[in-house]
Amino acid sequence: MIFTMEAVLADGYAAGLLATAAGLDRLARHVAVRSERHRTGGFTYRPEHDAWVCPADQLLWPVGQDRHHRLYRAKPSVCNACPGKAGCTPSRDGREIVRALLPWPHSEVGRFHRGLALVLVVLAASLTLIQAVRHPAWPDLVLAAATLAATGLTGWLLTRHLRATPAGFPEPESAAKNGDRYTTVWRSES
Amino acid sequence: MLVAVFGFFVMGLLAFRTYTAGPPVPRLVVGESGQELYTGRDVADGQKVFLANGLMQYGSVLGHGGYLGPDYTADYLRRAATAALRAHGGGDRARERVRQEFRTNRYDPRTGVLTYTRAQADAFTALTGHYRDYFADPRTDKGLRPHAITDPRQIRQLTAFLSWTAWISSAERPGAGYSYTNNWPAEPLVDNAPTADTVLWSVVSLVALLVGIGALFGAVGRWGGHLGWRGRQAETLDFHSPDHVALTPAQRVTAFFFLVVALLFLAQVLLGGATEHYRADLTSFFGLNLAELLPFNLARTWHLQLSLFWVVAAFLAAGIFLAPLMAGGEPRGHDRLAWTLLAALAVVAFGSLIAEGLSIHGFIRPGDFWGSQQFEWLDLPRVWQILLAGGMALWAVMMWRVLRGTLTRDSRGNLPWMFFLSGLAIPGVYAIGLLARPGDTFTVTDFWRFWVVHLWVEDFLELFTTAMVAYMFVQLGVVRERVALVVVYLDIILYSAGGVIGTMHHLYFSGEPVEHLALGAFFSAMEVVPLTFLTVEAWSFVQLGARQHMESRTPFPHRWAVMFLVAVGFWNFLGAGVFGFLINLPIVSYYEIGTGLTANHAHGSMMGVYGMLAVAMGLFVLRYLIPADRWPEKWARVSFWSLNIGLAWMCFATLLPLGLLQLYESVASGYFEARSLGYLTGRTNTLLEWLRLPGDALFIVGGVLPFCRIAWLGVRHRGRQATADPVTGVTPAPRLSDIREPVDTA
Repeated sequence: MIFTMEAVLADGYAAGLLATAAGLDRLARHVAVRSERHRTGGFTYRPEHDAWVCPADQLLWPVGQDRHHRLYRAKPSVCNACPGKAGCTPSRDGREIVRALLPWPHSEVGRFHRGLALVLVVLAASLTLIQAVRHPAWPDLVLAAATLAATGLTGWLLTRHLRATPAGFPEPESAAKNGDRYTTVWRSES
Repeated sequence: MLVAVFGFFVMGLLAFRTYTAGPPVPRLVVGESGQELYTGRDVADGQKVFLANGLMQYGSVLGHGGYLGPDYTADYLRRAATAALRAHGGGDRARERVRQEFRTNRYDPRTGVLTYTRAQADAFTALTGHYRDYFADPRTDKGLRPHAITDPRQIRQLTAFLSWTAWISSAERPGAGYSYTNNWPAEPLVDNAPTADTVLWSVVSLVALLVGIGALFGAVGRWGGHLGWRGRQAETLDFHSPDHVALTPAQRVTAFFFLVVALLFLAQVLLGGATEHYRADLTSFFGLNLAELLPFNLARTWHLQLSLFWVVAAFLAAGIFLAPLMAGGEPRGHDRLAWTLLAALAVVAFGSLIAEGLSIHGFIRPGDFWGSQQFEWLDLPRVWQILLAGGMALWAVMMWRVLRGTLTRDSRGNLPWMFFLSGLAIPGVYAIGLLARPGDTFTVTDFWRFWVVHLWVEDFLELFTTAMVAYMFVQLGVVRERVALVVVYLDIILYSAGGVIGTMHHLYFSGEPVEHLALGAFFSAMEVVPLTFLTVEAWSFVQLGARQHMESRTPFPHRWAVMFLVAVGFWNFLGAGVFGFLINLPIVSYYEIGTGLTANHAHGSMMGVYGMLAVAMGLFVLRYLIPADRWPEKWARVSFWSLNIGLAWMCFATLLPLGLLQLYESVASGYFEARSLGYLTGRTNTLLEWLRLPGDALFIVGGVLPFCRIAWLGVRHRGRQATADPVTGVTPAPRLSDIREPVDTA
């Protein structure tokens, strides 16, 4: 073999770390999707009307929005007459769904996964560099260069993803400013 | 209930089989000419010598123990077989003779006498000399203290114990074509190779896992809507700002609990740093001969003990904090009980650590009731073990005092009952560990030891914390009580199905009959199914409700407690699930047990799951003890990221690659070779060990120290900002949130 065994193992492990990092990055996206699905389980979003359809086939229309959410509500008369009301909502004003525009904590969970993914990329780069110093033969250096290139590319992509994933935690100031959404913030769009 | 009863019924049967079908300890071991070599009493006393000197925290027997020293069973077996081969003149015929001599079972159950062949007897004598020199070594370059064991009688007893473990590893079980230990360890000189059962049950458990995951997710997809997760709109809750949550006197005492927790955590990680340094540089600690004062086995003993102490102390403190929230207050004098419990825990923690130190330094007689036990994870001597169980029983009584009113009013299936019953199981199951006594047969002691190491830690602590987290979330309006109850019940059912009997996956090669291997492999593979499910669902569990805080008028106060719970979910899947299953199959475990991949799983699950959970509990409670304007948000964030990055670095930079290489070495060259100090201190291993330094430093400096600072702030302020109402002078019942009355817009 033209490569030393140790170089192959180290670079192979580094490649494994990059794959794991990419997996964690995917996980960050998966969690967001899953979270949304659970919160609105049984309801279907109709993007063409910007409305939700409940399991009883009734529509929920947008009634308000703030920086972080968009609120949808069904007609109270429909909900109050619905046989499934007890299992759906305690409200007499019609079932609501809040679609989070900047949802926490899944935004920060995504950041957590993407942060750890970047740690693995840094580790992969460190291992490859150490290996290159220990085995400076040309074939091993070529292998290390290829691994480093893959590391750089993955690192660049994942850094972009991390930057695009803000923690999204609602700061106390904005929350205080928001106050009661029923009276202060939620503006009727109609 | 039925699932749990079934699980414990099977465990009862397995306990019965452990006593009746385990390997015998001969009354007497003689040579061919009838000369006495050692007695059954010597084996028991030798085990006490082994434990008292902390050798189970240095190396291992039958694969169980520390990872720096050799596995003494494999060590004795290789050296004895090599000596016998040499005595028979070497070559193929000698090899076959050695194989036959070691595999033939010459134990006579009627007389209780085991006869060694001449070559085996000579090997015993030669190895007594070998271990005499080995343990009397004045140098510290093995990580043991100088002159660790010098008493010739103790050396003979110790060699007798090791010889017995090697005998049960190679002599064939009556009526079977394999040894008492299912042919473990792999040793070609005595024809020890994986048995058909080891391979078969590995395949069966792997298939069971795949089918189980498919079936569970299929079922969730089909009937998941009935679990109560989906769809229903919850009431809107307003959180009380931490400054406006009145605390009871006992709740305020928990500030001191968490300071102790933080300091024990700091001590534990510093000792972890020391043990790691031994692996990177065995001969010197930056110019200091550390082994004279703090030999590797003592550092590791304390490292493991403290990990249990600080985590359990955090859980007990969280219980003390949460119970008054459930009951709406606490009885008079409850704070005095909390102080008593804290004092008792401190006495047990420091008393047992001192006793272990004295024992390893040779000041305490082996097997002493007051000062010497040192089974790995059950290190604390017997008297301290009894006191700890007593302390936890006192805590259970405290829970009962606070909750009894609520429990009488509430249905037995509800959350306060789940909280109380799961809490009650903590001292109960821990006390079962008292059945492991240093002088009993190793196979029996290991069986009961894992009731604590696996069943208590992985199942009952997990159940209690699930109940606690569920209740926290209900209090915060994060989830409805029904959803929380569904999660707790799922936890009970799914863990009872796999987790209880799955305990046996630790005991494939400890001398148990083959059914332990079969059931252990099958049920522990099935344990991964609920783990995967609960992990995925727990993420949703956190997120589902945490969203709803947005509707509160008050900012959500528990950002970092929730993030630590998210980290628990992540490490539960990676550290416990993936890293655990990596070593779970009998065929993998056969070559892997006692090597680096076990350490990888241990760190990923113990710190990743229980450590992060304990810190989450700490931050949750401390948030109410520290005034809102003094709350160090920045330090909580630094601690969160540093602990997680440090742990990930620890696992991926060192423990995982090191473990994979060691597993390869074990399969390719042999288990004895893979556990040798020569292999462990090789260039590649040393480099990987040093590579861990940045992660460890970040973990300690960035992760643990900020947590200590937050805990100190907790003691400094201890919830004084929120006390009695200034007008009425009445302390209101503690509540974290209120249900907002619906707004009538009609």
